[in-house]
Amino acid sequence: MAAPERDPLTGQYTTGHVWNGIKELRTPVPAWWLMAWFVCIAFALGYIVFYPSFPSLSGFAPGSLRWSARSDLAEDIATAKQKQASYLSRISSLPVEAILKDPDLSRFAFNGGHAAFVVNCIACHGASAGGQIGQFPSLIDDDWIWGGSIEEIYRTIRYGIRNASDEARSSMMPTFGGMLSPQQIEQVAEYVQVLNPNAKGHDGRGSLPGAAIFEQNCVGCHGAQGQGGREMGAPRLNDAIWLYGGAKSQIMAQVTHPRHGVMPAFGLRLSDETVKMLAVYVHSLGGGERSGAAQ
Amino acid sequence: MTATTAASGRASRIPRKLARGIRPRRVKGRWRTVKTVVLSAVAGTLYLLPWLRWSREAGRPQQAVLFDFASAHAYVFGFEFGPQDLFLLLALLIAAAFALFLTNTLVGRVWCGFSCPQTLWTDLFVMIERWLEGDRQDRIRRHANPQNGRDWLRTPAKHGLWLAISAATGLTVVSYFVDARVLWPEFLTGSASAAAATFVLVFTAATYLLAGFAREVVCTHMCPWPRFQAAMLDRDTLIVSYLSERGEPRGPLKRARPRSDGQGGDCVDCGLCVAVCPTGIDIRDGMQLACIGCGLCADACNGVMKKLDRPLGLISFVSEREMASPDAGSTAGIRRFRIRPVAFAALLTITSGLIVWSLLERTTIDVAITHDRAPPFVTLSDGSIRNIFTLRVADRRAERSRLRVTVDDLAGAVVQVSRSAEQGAHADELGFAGTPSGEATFRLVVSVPSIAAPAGRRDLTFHVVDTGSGAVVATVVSYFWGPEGGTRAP
Repeated sequence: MAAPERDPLTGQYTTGHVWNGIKELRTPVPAWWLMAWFVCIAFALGYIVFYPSFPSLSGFAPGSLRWSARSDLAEDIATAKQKQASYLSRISSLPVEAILKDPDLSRFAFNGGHAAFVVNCIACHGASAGGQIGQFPSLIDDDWIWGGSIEEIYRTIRYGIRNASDEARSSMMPTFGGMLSPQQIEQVAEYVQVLNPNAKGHDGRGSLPGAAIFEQNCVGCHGAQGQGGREMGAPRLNDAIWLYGGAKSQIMAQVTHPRHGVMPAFGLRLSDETVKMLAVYVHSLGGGERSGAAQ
Repeated sequence: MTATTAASGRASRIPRKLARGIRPRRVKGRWRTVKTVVLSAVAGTLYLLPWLRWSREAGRPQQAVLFDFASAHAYVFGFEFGPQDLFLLLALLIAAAFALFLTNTLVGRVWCGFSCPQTLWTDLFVMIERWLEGDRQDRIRRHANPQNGRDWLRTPAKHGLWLAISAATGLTVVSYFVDARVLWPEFLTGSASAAAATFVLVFTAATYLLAGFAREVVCTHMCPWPRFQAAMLDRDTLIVSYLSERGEPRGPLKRARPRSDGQGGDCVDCGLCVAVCPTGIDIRDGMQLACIGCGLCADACNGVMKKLDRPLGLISFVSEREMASPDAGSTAGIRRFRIRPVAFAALLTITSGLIVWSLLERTTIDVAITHDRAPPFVTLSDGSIRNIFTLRVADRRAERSRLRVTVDDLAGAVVQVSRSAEQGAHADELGFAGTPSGEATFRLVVSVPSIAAPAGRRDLTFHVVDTGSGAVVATVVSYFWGPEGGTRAP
């Protein structure tokens, strides 16, 4: 190549290349730009060495750091569990009613209970815990078949209802279809309908033919006033809440061939802390009842 | 001359080698004073603002100005902003853009020359350089001969000071996002969070590199503003200009003549205007992209003109129209009310007016109430009807007292709040304990006796009442569901 030649107009060197009499100026890429490019290349090479990069037939090159999003997640979960540990150990060591007395702990339990409720409970009791009429009780009203104190709710969740667990709650409404005549069943249903003090004809219920039948067959569990018996899971009959429906035909159906609620023993599926947190959550939904309050 | 006239064909007088590192000479004068005052005010505000305290409720930041990412809240003196106020930031940026356009239309690139952060820190770093290594000639000599023994002391001292300022800047910038009283000790003892430490180091490195080394390269190669600021100029905009009619033909002092001789211009070609320029341009080549409009060349030239007893203002802030007028330098016939600045001023007024208006009109408390729809209502033992609502409150008031929720025109309605902290017994007050952001979600339970329960859906008005003052701070309309066709017969 010839000696470097300066372009007289711009003062820059030329490359020596000439096309049709036009000379190419020597305008190299700026050094800082090249440096930045080399740094990028070095970074890319380093990245390939340390991090997952190339695909292969059997997977991918894992990189020397063995980093993966999955192990990051596992770490995050471990960190979260560690942060929960002190709360969970307190929940585990305290009786469930004591959790309510600690605002911080009960807030934690409420949120944990909500998460567990969404996973385990909404299939039957619904996302808003409203239950399903004729199927599953509502948890947002003020009626509790097995008791609404947090201890009773905890027990219900832990052992469930009518399942293989020895401690399970189990109501025993007999099938009156064979014991009473259809006419008697109709009469007792009419009587049960007016047990509610707000019902029309409540005051004259003593003269109904169903009164004597109720007296003979039902008071043992449901009480003389139809106030229910929680120890047996006998629902209150003198209120406005009807799990299986309040129409005469619905009451007759329940007396003739009763349906019984079933609930799994969640103590066998979930940790005790989770069951306690669920109790805290459920207790808050409808207001619950005070511990030890006479019902 | 069009606004974007590039450097003329005349070859630059700066040797190429020097142009790689511009070492501006010290200058005294009117614009230098203005620049020093403005930059000191900007720097002082920036560095000291994070140390200002502001008394807020316990549990909330006590720093006067803090952009708290963790809680997604910004605190600016008495104001508190949440994510829903992000439009205010957008409006502020738009207003700032209009302010920049307006000043640019009126007086050229004074933002660049007098208040841009790049100018601020470059100026500061050059000041340190000048203090340690002497003025332009000394610095050129030293850098040409780096073996100079005394530089073993001066060079590390210079870089040490630069790094100290950079670190202070990095810490200051991050202090706008993390409480300064926590960040500084934590960073200096090495116990700051990795994220905070990283950002401090990034801003430290950026300051050190941009103000120490990149300097005018930022203005000429990295910043987008010079590329399109020319679009904001017109013939009446004040720009730093060399009055070539008066200065040319330039020549050395001994041959120079007063202009009246008709033989020589006022410019004695001393080169001071070039020597003092922080971006290393020659203003006599006309207006150019690299000129940041700082007026230091005007100061330098005025100093020379004063010594030579010639009229000042050979280089000054003048408009193109002034230069073209026969009586150059006079302000007669200059139009100050022109479409462009008036339009920008109007837009600036509208945007800032909107910001002020929305700040004044802004509700300090946001309440949203949603009805739980499945089931729409639930019957209680005594036949009364209960509806459940989810209540979300964002309370941004300075004094966050307790709140109570009441409902209108629904006879016998009882409103209760069910929340984990108040389990067992319903409370009727909303508490914000443990929620520094003032945002919380509550479960609202409204029960109505069966006689008063509506058939189907009806509107229900909720009032959120401050229990302290009794004032209604928010009113929200939702609805209440009762059984269709009256209360269900038991």
